[in-house]
Amino acid sequence: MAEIKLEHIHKRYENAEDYAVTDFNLDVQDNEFIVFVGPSGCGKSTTLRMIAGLEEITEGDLYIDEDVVNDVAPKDRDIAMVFQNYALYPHMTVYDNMAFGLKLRKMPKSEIKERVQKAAEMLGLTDLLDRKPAALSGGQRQRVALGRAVVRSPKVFLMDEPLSNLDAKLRVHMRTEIAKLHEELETTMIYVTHDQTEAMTLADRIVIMEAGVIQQVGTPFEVYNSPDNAFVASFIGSPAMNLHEVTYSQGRITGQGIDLLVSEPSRKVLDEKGYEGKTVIFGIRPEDIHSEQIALDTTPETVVETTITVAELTGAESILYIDVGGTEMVAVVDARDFHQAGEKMEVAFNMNKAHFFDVETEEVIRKKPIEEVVETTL
Amino acid sequence: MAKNNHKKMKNKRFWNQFFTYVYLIFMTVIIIYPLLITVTSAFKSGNLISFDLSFEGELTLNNFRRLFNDTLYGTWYMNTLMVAVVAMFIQVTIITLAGYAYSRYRFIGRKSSLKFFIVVQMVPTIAALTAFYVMALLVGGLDTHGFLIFLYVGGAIPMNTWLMKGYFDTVPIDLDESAKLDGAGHLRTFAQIVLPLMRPMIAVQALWAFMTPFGEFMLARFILRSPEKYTVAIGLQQFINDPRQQRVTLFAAGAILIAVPISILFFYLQKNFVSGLTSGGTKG
Repeated sequence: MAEIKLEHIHKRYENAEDYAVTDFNLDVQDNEFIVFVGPSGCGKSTTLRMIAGLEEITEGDLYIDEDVVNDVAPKDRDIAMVFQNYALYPHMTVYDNMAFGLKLRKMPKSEIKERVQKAAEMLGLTDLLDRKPAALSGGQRQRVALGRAVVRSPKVFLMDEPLSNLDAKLRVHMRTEIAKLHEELETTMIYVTHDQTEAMTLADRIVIMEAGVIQQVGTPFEVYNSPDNAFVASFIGSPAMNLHEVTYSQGRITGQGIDLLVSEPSRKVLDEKGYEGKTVIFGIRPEDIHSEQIALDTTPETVVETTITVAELTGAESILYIDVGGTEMVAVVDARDFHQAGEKMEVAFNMNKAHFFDVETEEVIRKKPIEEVVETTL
Repeated sequence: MAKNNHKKMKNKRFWNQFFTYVYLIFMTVIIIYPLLITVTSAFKSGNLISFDLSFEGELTLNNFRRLFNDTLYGTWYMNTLMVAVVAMFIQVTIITLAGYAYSRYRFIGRKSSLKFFIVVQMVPTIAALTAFYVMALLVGGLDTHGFLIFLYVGGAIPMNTWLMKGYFDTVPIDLDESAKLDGAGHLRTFAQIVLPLMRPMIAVQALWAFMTPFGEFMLARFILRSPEKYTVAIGLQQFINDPRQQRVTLFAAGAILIAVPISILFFYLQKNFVSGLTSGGTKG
């Protein structure tokens, strides 16, 4: 139960010229589930380790509740962390692994036992308490690592890519377990991952980072539907958003074989911001390119003739790589329509869902603050 | 065709095994032969003037009796044991702590001192004898066991600190960090989390440190001057260095007894010589 505040946090490693993390500002609410997501080396783990106290903070202030904890030792921050590679004590049994932190806190034996039993029950480890980590499977080890954090009932739970060593099926399973755990424990959690599915499914709010800088903070819905910049747009969502440089003029975007009528609200914003005759980045999600007859009929002005170059069937959906006047775009359509490579196909662009970004700054071109955008989309 | 191939394979396997066994037998002879000479000599009566392998004559325990009654062997033995035990404890303590520090902490001079260790290691002991002598004179260490222990431990530090550091490096640092978050301080992390995983290396180091004084000759001969201070290595040498009075049987008997404490320590430490202690703790 704690609030965490990061104020202008910077991190520069010794002997490094550039900052690994630059001007990181974030307020984490009590009981919130925050996910840091970003490509490798974006500074997300570094930030987590600074919160844990395993890395020094070069500049800025870190608050846990009301106190600045920059110089507080990790053990006094009342934080538990689950490591990517579990970091279990190999010479101790599962029970001792979980009890270690409690013993150090001079807790009475009976209470330690009670807590470990309870955590073991919660995580399905009751039968494994006498085993050593070497005799456990990957999933069980990960559960012990979680259990070790759970028994301490810390103020804050930190997790550094806890599922990345598990196989795909187990990962999905453990993802739900972690979500459940958060419900039960009602603890502030900060979770680092490079897997956007994990981020989208678990987070109350997602923090998207690149090159040590926060790109956007928002709910999964916000970052998906109203990305602040081209990076967020391309990073969140799979397959990634189609992004292409086009010229905006007279309410149309043209270039790279694309020639489309811009929707009324977007046109207004682009005109107001003075993008007439200028190059912009046009973004459209694969699922906003439609092939169903009903879509073609409703918006005939956005229908384009395309050729399918590759068709990937994923089950319920097909991922189609389509050639739009020489530009390759990705569309996700209903698999039951059955498309094949080489086929000609008409698609309709849902221009209401189109995104426009400035070419220079890659920032989104948007008039209204994000909340209103969300409201109108809803 | 297939049959031919099969035959060829069979042939190949035969020759493979043949050479393996020839090699093994050869090595066994090399190892066993001198041991056999020493063991048989130890139980022979009279004063042989040279080593040879023969089983003539009666076997007796007289040599062992003479060792303890007529010579200073008992004193030498206790001297050596004392030097070995003290050197072992000091050496293992120092290199374990140093290895941990080099592996886990970043401090000024870390890299250069590690390099310096290698350079120091290149200088053979014999080249430093004069320096040792001067040092011994300065601190009054000549003919003392303390100074000998000092030289043994000092000589072993550079190389073995490297080895220790290397082994510490194989213990994932995540375990330290995990312990830190669990509430452990530096010392507890070291003692309760990392050290237990170092058991194999510590056992090896202890054994090496313990064995050195029993076999080392040059430094002991150089530092220890009075016979009642001798270690077994230089003591035993007295029995065979006089060409007119070679006491080979006594030498052999004394040599065999050296194996006793070393074997005891080995069997005591044996359960620590296991691999894979860190397995299961981390992945990737």
